[in-house]
Amino acid sequence: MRLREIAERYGNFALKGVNLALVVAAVVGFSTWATAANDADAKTAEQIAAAKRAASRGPYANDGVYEGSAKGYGGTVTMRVTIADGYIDKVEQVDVGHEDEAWLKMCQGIPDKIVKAQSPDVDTVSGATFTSTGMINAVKKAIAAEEKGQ
Amino acid sequence: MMAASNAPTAKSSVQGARRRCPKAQRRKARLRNRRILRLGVQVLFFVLAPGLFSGALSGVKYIAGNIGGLQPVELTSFVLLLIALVASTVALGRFFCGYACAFGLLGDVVYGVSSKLRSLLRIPQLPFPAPLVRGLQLVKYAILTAICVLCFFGAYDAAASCSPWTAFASLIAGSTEGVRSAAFILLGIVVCAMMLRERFFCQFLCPMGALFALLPVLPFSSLDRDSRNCPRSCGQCRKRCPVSIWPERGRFGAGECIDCGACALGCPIDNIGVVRIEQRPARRKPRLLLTGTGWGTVIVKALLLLLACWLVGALRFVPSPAELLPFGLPWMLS
Repeated sequence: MRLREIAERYGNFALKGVNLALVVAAVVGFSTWATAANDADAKTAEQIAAAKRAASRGPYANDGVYEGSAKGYGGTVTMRVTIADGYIDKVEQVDVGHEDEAWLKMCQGIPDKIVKAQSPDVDTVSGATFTSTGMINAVKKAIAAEEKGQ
Repeated sequence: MMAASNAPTAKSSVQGARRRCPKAQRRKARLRNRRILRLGVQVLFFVLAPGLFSGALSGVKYIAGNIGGLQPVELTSFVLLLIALVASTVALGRFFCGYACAFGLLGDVVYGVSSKLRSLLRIPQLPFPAPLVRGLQLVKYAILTAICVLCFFGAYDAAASCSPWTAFASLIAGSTEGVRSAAFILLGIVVCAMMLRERFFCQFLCPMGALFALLPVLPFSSLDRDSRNCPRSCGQCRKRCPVSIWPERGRFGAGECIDCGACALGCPIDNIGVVRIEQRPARRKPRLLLTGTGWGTVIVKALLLLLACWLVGALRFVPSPAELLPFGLPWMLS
């Protein structure tokens, strides 16, 4: 019987193929769920930090908007830091000189990291050291300006 | 490879005549040449990538551990290596096991030397009856499961320092610091066991072997015989097989095949291969197109596996893709 022949010859392969597909699907599915769960946890942690911030004044003495510049990979990088209620509220790029798109993209998480850590002492991005160092140093300069009360 | 029978009996003159006939001599020479080619490829992989099996096993442990710890599974270099070896097994069969695994090389060397000694000293080989072989072949699945369960519950670290692979890897790396003596004792036991039967570790104890045996191998890479042509009560293929299976890709036990080619090279009617075309009219014997054991196949498979290992950054002494390629590989960007 043709069907029996096909089942004999390829049944083994099909069974193992389905098994592999199921295992891979399970791992990928689990990983997607776990990433989402981690993100949700991070959000909650942020909310808790925001609530804490609303409760008391932060470590930075002078509120206001400050700018700082430092040398990046392709020229000077200028960053703007907004201090509100003693906390770092916002970190933005003002000018990025001649930085390449690809490297800027790799560093786009740095402003958020600085706000989260409430300090410019965050890790540089490997593979984009100069760009990220430029951004971080520009933020440090801005904070130094804040300390001087300018 | 068959060990020569040592005790002289009435049958041995007939067997001796069979062994001396020109076709048998040619087969013996082909088997020996294939063994030399295989040793060459094994040494090449030992030099360029001795840590393949332990890296892939680390990938398995990482996945199990992260799932147990409810953390996402990221594409670490170990996971990439595991994917490369799984892909290679699906496409090329268990070529990795037979030609690229450093532990497999250790086993082959240990077995080769000890069986030469054994035939010189006329010590008979320990018999392994078929049910025992079947049973022992299941042990590696238990070992794989145990490792995954331990990692899942985050309890592996205590066991990890005793693993024989850690001991072996530290010997290759040249520094045995931080490896407990229990690991070396276990390694010693495993090496002694390797002397008892060809590929003892691979077929009975290797967790990666268990994983690979469960993978679907594409038909053009799995050895198969046309049993319609087999002479009655021959069974040469199964007798020569180090893992004692019939070369039939439809059987569930076909996963045990480590792609050594002893069956195909030893078949008296050249009936075993990977790709076959049917002749018309159907009465004529189908012509074997690709045996899957020739030098060409071995070299192509070796190059493909080397390429896969290079792409995931697992080769030593060779510039990495990041250095050679003008573009970045998507799985290598952090």
